[in-house]
Amino acid sequence: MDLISNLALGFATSLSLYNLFYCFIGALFGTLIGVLPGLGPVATIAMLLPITFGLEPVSALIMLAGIYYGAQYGGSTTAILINLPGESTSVVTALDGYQMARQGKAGKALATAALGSFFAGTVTTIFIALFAPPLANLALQFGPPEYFALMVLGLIASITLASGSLIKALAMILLGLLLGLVGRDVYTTEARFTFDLENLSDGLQFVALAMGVYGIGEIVRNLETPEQRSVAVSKVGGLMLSKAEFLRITPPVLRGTGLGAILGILPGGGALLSSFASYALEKKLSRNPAEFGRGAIEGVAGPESANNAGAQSSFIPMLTLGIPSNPVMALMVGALVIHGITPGPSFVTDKPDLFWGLVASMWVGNLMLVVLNLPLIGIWVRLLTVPYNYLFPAIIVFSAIGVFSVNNSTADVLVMAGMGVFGYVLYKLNCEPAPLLLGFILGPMLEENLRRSMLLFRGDATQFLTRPLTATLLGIALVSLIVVLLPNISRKREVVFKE
Amino acid sequence: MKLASLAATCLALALGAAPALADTAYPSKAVTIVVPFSAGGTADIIARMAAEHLQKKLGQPFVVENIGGGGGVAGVEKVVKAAPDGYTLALASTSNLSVHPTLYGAKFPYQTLRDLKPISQVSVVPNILVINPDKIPARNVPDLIAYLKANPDKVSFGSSGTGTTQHLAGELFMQRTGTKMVHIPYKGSSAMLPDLLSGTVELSFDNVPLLLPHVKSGKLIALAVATPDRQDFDKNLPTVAETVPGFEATAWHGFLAPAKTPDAITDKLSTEIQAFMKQPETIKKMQELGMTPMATTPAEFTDLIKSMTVQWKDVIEKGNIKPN
Repeated sequence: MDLISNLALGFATSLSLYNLFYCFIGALFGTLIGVLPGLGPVATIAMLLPITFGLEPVSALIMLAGIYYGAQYGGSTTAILINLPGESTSVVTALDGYQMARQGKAGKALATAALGSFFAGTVTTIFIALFAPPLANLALQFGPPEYFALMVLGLIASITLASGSLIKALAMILLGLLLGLVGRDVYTTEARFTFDLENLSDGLQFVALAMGVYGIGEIVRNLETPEQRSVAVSKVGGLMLSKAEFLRITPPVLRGTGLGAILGILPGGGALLSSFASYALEKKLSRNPAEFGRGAIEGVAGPESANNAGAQSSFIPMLTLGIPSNPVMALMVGALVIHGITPGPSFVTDKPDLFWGLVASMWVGNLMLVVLNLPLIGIWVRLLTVPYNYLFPAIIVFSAIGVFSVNNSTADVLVMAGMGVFGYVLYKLNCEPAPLLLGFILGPMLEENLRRSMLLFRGDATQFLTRPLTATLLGIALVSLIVVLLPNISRKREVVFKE
Repeated sequence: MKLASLAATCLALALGAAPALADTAYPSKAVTIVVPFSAGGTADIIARMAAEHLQKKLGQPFVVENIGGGGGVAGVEKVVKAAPDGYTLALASTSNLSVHPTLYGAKFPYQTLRDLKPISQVSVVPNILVINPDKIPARNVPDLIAYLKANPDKVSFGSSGTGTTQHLAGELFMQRTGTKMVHIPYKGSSAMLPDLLSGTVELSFDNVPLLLPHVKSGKLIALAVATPDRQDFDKNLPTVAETVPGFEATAWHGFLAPAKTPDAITDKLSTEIQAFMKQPETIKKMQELGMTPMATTPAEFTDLIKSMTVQWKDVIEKGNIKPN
């Protein structure tokens, strides 16, 4: 069978001692650097990219892939331990992961993330091996109108991210949308909300915003009430999952993997949506949705699996069409181009050893990550026992370095500081930042695709409804909106009747 | 002791910064090459290759610093504001030098030839005119023009963003041929590519490395190249200029220094950079990357920036592309 011989070729390539070594180095460096707050996969790969220039193309790619997984996992670690999501995907992990950490279950949260990611990685590797070329065509089915409909669906789902007031969640989403408008308009290049500051012409940087609102805001909160933290520190134990917990995380991991693998194929932000989508789905399916946002293990398991599956299937458009679906993939294309290889339609047939070697190394890399990280969990968790007086200045320093390193821009550090104050204000007002961040991420994509669709339709909006895929997605969005609103309407009715 | 040597170093650095002394001693410390784009792009690759060569020849480290953001404005601005001592250089592109100052108007933080001193142009990145063959029946440039004239505003052309050479190439084409298409900007070429492959947008001018694999696979058809002469990657591919005389819409890169940098320094650098660009290995590597290597003098590079600024200013004004 073709698949078997292809995978055999792949494993023969990736399991050579030489490549195994680079896979290990990649996963190790990725984890170590990624665990520094604010240093997500993009910054980590950009920093380590020059190292790969002298390597064989296969080894370079394998190492970069290792860094990618490692850094992504490292980002989840900081999200769970200190509420610092350095990547858009780990915003969701922070929601329940950090709450688990505060309840002394940091080890369990980290183990869930590692195991969920590994499972998702294994399944998606097989998925890519089986279906990569045909799936590439799915990516082409999605034009601007379809992406617009998908973003609408995403925004509606984001309402479920909030565990408190619906009105406040809506307000946060809208505020996030507005923050997303800062910068030069893609269509007219007109500067919006930049106050003539050239530093804002590219918009607010996500990492600065997320780390400010979450990380710095959290530090201010903790300093205000020091006794809250000592609780978390006192009971750190219980690193491994119990059998009951294993059973609890199995369905979310399976669903998350499925969602991530499919959404990850879409180059225009699919992988990004997968962890949010998975969280929303788990919360809807859960018997006690009230637990979400207060340390539900499903809220870590689902999104972490989805995020890893999505990260991996986002290789599909890159390898089969030469389309990088995110900045990390763009860096990888850059690395390949340096070696004189342009990924594209003929990549799989022209360079089978490279393609299958990379596919096999995805699994090897994920395995290494688990082997590497399960023992490290104990060390990470002990980090929490460091007295807060020493920990928080270190977090601030590393955050500032991390934010600075993304664009070498001091303005971004100032944005982070400002957003820290803003995050504290949000906390005082009982407003949750997660819907804000999702609005911030989805808003620009929503606007861009809406306006692009309208240009393509030459101003005829009815065409949204005549395209089957777009109409279906918008239909699902409408149904979800009704489902989200219904309990509220009935609850309000109850209140009304009581009076 | 330690403090004294530190003070001595500081003094030496301060003196080194004075232009008069720099002539003979340059370079006496590490030189920073600012690339106003993120790591891994073509500009970054050229900068790193050149840095390695300069380091070997001039005996001091040449460090590449990537300052992305704002379409490269932040990175170029840093060089504009740096001391004119030859220790901060820029590797910038067409859009940084010949488009942005016009496009973004009076509030823009620099004017290229007032604030920067050209050293050498090092590359041309040819744009090619491609179409989606399922959507457009034309197979050569004259047929395309006829098709566009018969179907005004029906064809959408995708670009990597408003004000990029890919966008301005399309505007220039419309203005010179009297045709009409709708411009659809994207955030970067790779975001546009899926829609070009699926036929959502039907036509584009974009870089060879991005498009060539899809032209080879038959998904897209290349009609012409937007350089003045035919290019080595395909001598059979005509130029747009063969049908539309004088048509030129390419991206290029070059090294620059702050405006007041002494001639002795920029000339020295230009000589080294030109020598490097003429090495057979460099030429081979550049061609692999889909670029045409260039080795020009400061005067030639200045002329290029001037003439392209004039051309794009005209296109921007006629096309009413300016934001305000």
